[in-house]
Amino acid sequence: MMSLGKLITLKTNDNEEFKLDKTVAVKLEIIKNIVQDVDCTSNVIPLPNIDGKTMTKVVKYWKKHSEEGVTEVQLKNFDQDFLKMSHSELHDVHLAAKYLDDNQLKEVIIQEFLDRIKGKPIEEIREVFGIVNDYTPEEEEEVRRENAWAFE
Amino acid sequence: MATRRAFSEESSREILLSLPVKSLLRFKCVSKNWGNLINNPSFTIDHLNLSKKKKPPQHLIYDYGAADDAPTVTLVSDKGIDEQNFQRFGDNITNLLGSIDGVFFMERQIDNAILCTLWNPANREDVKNKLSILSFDFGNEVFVEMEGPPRGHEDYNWSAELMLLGDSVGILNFVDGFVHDVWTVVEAAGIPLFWLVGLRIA
Repeated sequence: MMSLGKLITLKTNDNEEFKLDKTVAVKLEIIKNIVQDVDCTSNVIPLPNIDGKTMTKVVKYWKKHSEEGVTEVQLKNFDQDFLKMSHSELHDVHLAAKYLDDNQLKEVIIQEFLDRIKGKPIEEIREVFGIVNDYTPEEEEEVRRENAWAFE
Repeated sequence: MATRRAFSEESSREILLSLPVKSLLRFKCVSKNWGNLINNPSFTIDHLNLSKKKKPPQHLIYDYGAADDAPTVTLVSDKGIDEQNFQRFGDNITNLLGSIDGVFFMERQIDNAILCTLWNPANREDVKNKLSILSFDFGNEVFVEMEGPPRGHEDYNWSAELMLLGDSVGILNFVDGFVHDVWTVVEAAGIPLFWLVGLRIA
């Protein structure tokens, strides 16, 4: 009963379901592998590491990028819009792309992070990554001094 | 409620791997975790491999037959020839005395004074008149800035040679007659790097 329907259902860890065209879904290595293993009578693939909110974004990206006749310019505009999300949302999508082994999406996200942090002061970097500074002022000064030329 | 989840180390690492060296040195200040991550030798290796893939290596061309007032050193990327002319030493005559592990030892003539400079192309900074170099710290596998030999010892001449002694960079300097000084970088716990005449061969 391998060739059941054209749709594959992806189920997130908060039980949201996404129906995807099989031809779109199996472009992803991980889904292809699961499809081969999974009990095909149900056609439901669980995604234990991804929540519905994040998956909505990922699916939106996939759908746009597999649209027929979509132009380069349209995709560029779409990406620009797509990437307008908070740092932590972006991080979630990055993790999802990693889990789904989607290299294209991963690269887009990393580039966005690079754009967000390039040339920014250290305080803003901490903010982007949600990092608490655990250096004492003396220690931080020491590290700054060691790498002084990089701050010029 | 909405407490910010810190980034997974794996995600941060992946992003940091795509950054230029200068940003990485700056970002060591972000937190101890990042400091350790960036200082980690395995990170350095991964970073190098990734940037090699992205940016083709540059070639340094040294023109032995250049006219007296023409720049002798040109940097060329794999992409083509007029990518970047070597401008840092201006029109001063620049002689390449030697190179080791990507560090170049150059001699310049400025108003009849001869100045020697160690230059590392990885650090795209002008080394100006300061005898300062960016050097590779073999222990930590990162680039660090260090001072060159102290002022007053700039009277190297054509026979000066750059060499590698154990883990450190040394300069063999012809002084007078058959006398040579060997300058080496000395590193001791708690003391910044300094240059020392390690040996005088007479």
